[in-house]
Amino acid sequence: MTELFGLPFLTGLAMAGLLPIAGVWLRLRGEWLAALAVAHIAGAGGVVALALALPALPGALFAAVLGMLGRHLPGAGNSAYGWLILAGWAATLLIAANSPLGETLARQVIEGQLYFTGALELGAAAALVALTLALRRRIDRNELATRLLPAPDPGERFRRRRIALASDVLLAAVLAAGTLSIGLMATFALVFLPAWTAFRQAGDWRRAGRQAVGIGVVGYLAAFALALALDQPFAPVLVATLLVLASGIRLIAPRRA
Amino acid sequence: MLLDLRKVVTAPPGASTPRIGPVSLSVDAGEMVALTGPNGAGKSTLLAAITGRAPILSGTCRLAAGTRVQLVEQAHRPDRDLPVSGHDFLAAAGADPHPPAPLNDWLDRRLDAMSGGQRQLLRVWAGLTAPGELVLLDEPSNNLDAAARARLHQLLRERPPHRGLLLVSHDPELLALGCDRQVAMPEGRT
Repeated sequence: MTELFGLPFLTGLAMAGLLPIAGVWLRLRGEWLAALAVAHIAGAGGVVALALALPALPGALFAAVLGMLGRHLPGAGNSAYGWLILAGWAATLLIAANSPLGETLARQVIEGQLYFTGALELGAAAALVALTLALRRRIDRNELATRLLPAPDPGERFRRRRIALASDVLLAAVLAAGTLSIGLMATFALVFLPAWTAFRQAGDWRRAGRQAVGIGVVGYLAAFALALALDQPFAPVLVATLLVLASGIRLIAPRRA
Repeated sequence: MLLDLRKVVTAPPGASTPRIGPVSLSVDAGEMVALTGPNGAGKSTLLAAITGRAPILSGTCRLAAGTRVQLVEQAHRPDRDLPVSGHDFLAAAGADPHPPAPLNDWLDRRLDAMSGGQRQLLRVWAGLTAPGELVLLDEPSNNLDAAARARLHQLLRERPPHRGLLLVSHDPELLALGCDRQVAMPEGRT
């Protein structure tokens, strides 16, 4: 049992800690819909790669980075993310329907394939955890300054944009790794729900991050156990668990503001 | 000379009309210069031109080499459900984390739980103490009650030395604080 589920469990645990951090950054930007959009595009990139007999992860990563950097184009915003969601969804299903592996490919990407992840996925997740921990303070400060303070001169604007681009690549990588390991909607749930609750309840930025990660990890552990015990597919169990957990905390705990 | 504007004509960001100016002024280290004029005269647009966010259509705007600018814009209400405390705000700004009383008592609160006046005073403190040689303050006394205005005056009187301040205001109390010069915006736009 441990041998069978050890690597998938650790991979999912890493993603359950990482995706809520991506969620607090995206929510601070007011761009949480980007998570769903980039996850769809990452899914499409993964399917294209599999259809071309290439590993899914690099394809998903490449597509996710392109999708994330699209936010810097003039006029980009929620409309662009809506466009990406539809384009990613259509591309994923159409490519899957017309490739030899057909439905299997689409199901792997859309529903996730946590139980089939191995050392490659765990290595990628561990690398992303290390990178996020190393960059987190700098990204936190840049995202907060960008949201709260005007950039007073071109030099400061350039500095902020440079860090934002690096953050975008990291976010894209986290979303791509999440989509391919735990599935598209589970990835979105881990980005959206913990930050949604933490932004309302936490007293400051550091606590918001800790609370979001806590909700993500507790929800993941509960969902992993429930899915195995009840013999249910993991991704929808995780989404349902996070819905109950995050909504319950919002209902019970008082608003801080 | 930290800032030297000569016959600057500008326009709101993204537009070439209406034209604002020409305006000439200078700010040296340690000086506080007031920019006055009625609402709609283009004072905030001129600050946008100084910070590179509005076009300079004619004239020259020179910042001394290496001059870093801090800009405190007019107050606006932050979104609800933003888990950012006063400590977080000052850290993000790179400002002195130890403001005087009573500002230091507010730092544990979230910004969206502070009053508008408390947020405004923290923003002024951040602008005055974050790294920078030139501070641009846009109508800092707007929406402040008498007690908060008195605290604002105290912050400005006790500001770090050697910083140049360009203060946009039409508040007579604020202008009476001891500005080195007052520059009036030209009447009307073209």
